[in-house]
Amino acid sequence: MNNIQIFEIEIEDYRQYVDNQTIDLRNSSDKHINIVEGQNGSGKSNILNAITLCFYGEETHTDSNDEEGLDSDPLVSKKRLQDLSVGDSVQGHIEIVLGKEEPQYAFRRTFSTARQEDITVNERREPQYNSSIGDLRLRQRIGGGNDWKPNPNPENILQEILPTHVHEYFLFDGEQLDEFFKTGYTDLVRAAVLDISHIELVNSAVDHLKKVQREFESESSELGGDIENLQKRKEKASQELERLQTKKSNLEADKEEAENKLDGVYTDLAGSADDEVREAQHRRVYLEERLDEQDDELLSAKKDVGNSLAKAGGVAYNTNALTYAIEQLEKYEASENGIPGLTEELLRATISNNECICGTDLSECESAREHIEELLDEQTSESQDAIEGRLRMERALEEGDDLIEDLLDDLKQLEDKRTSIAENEDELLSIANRLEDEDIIDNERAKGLEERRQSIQSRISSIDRDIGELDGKIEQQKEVIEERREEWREAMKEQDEHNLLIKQSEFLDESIDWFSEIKSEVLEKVRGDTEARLERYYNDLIWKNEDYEVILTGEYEVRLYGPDGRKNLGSLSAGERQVLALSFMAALSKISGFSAPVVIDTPLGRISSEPKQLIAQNVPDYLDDTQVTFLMTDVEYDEDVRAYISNEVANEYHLDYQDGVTEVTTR
Amino acid sequence: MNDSEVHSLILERVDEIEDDDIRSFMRSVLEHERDIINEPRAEYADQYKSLVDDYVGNESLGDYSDE
Repeated sequence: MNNIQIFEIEIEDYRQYVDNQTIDLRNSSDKHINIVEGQNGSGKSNILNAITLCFYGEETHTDSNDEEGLDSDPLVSKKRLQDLSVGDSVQGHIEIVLGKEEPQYAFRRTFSTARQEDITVNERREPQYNSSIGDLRLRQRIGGGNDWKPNPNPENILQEILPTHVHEYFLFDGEQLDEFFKTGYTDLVRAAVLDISHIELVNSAVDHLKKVQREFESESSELGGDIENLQKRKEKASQELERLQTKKSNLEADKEEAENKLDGVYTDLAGSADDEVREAQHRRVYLEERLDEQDDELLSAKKDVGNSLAKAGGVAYNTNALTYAIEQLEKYEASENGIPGLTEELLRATISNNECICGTDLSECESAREHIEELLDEQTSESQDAIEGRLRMERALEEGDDLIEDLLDDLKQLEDKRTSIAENEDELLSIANRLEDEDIIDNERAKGLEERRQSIQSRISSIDRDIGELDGKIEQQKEVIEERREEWREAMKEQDEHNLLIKQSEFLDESIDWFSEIKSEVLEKVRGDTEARLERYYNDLIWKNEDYEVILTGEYEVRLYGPDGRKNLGSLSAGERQVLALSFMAALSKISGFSAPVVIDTPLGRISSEPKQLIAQNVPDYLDDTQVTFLMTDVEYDEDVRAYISNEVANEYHLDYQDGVTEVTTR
Repeated sequence: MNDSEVHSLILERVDEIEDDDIRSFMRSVLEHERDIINEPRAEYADQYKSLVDDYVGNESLGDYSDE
């Protein structure tokens, strides 16, 4: 057999299966059907449940009509729980051995049931249980021998054999199939076609690309300022700078014009016929030129003072500290231990005489000699450092006095310059007053010229102030422009990044569209294959001697057309619906391509006697090379059915159910 | 159709895409998705952003030091 088959199911203390029971289901190449037969309630459904519980941790069959009520029962067999004390628990397990030609994988899941405090219902004490399941475990056969080793990834292996999302098309309850095509079934059909289409890769790619695209869009929404507004703000700032600079140019032109006029007045005054006026004007020109020079001299004098202060400041500020330190060093030198000359002389004499003051002969005692030599080195070094330090401080104090004297000289010169400037300015004012005052210089023209000069001079001073203010504003405006340029540059860069992200998002959009289109094509192919097989299987299985056309629409609606036209699915009998659903399941399991065994509980439950043989024979034929295990009631597995399929049956079991316990026996 | 048949079909369709960048990008994505299936915790976002950068790069970003 090329497909995976179940070699055996080992059930221990699960539901009505007490102790350890093993069902051997090994098939041969020509026999691929297993029959497990038993009356209703004997435990057929719990074999299906045991398989899904072991593999997926869930029980598929949840028929509440079952006399024991599967949902409410503890997992561990009740027989094992009878003597259980409150707080104690019992464990069971299910192990399923799978493989192709030989057993290869042994999946096992343990479960346990613990007894809790009893409760009283209608004055009766009823025991309470709590069940839990363990993790799926797997042993894998190594080579062809009996060496089985644990595999740490049971879930991965199981997903390769029969993934969780498709197991319901391989392991299912036939009796419940007639419920499949009820209202709203198209969603189930769509999901089923999706499940078996193997397009997880494309789905995952689309999902991931959409997430990346959302991240791009989120990033792009945070980028990009108002470029147009920032551009305007930048241009407006530049215009304001131009306006200020133009205003400054105009003022400079006004100033130049005023200075020309002033030169004219000066020429007139200098050319006056009045000696006194002419002399006063010459003196003024001299003083003004001198004041220009003195401005430079004043600046130079200020620099000299600054330099002198920098040089003299260090010593001047630390004079007290230096004086104190010198006093301390002098005391140290004057102390008995600290007189370097004496100590040094004594040590040198001792070494020279080869005799220590204690009487030791140093030529006889090398260690004593070395000790005295070390003392001499230390003493010499410390003494020299102290003396050097004191001398430096004394020199610094002496130099400090000179530096302070230099500073005082520079300060005096600065003060002299200021005084001289003030005197020259006073004299200039005096000249102006003299020229203006007719009582001093009786010259009306000179008075007029002087008044005009003062007016022009006042105008020039005013222009200088305005130009000074404008210079400040121009500098500020240049800073504003640079800030706005930076804002604009950042925004332009962000806009570029924004545009790039948009392009990248569009690129992803196109890729997603392609993936979606490919996905639709794959789904359309799977839908077409499903439709073809569904029609073929239904016509083979249905007992009526009529041809049916089965359409699976793009919206996953199943339409059935008979000789009399379209048949409403709601009008089909329970048996017809079960056949349709069985055909669908067989088609899905076939098309899915998974190499997994099929287990069908109550496959013929809703089918009347006549077509049972057809179904029992055909369904396994559709699933050629696939192990098919039917869990049948004694009514389903009647002699006719048995005769029809006997050539393909590998194993037949009977479930013997007595006193709440099921025993699996060979038929 | 089994898993490998469907994947062959998907790759055939991808190979028919004329746009070289889209085709190459989608192939890379499918390869990475295969890795993700084997290693569910594998990262994809950085990988795909880097791939998109390769095809729609940032060479268009301007330098605005001069106006």
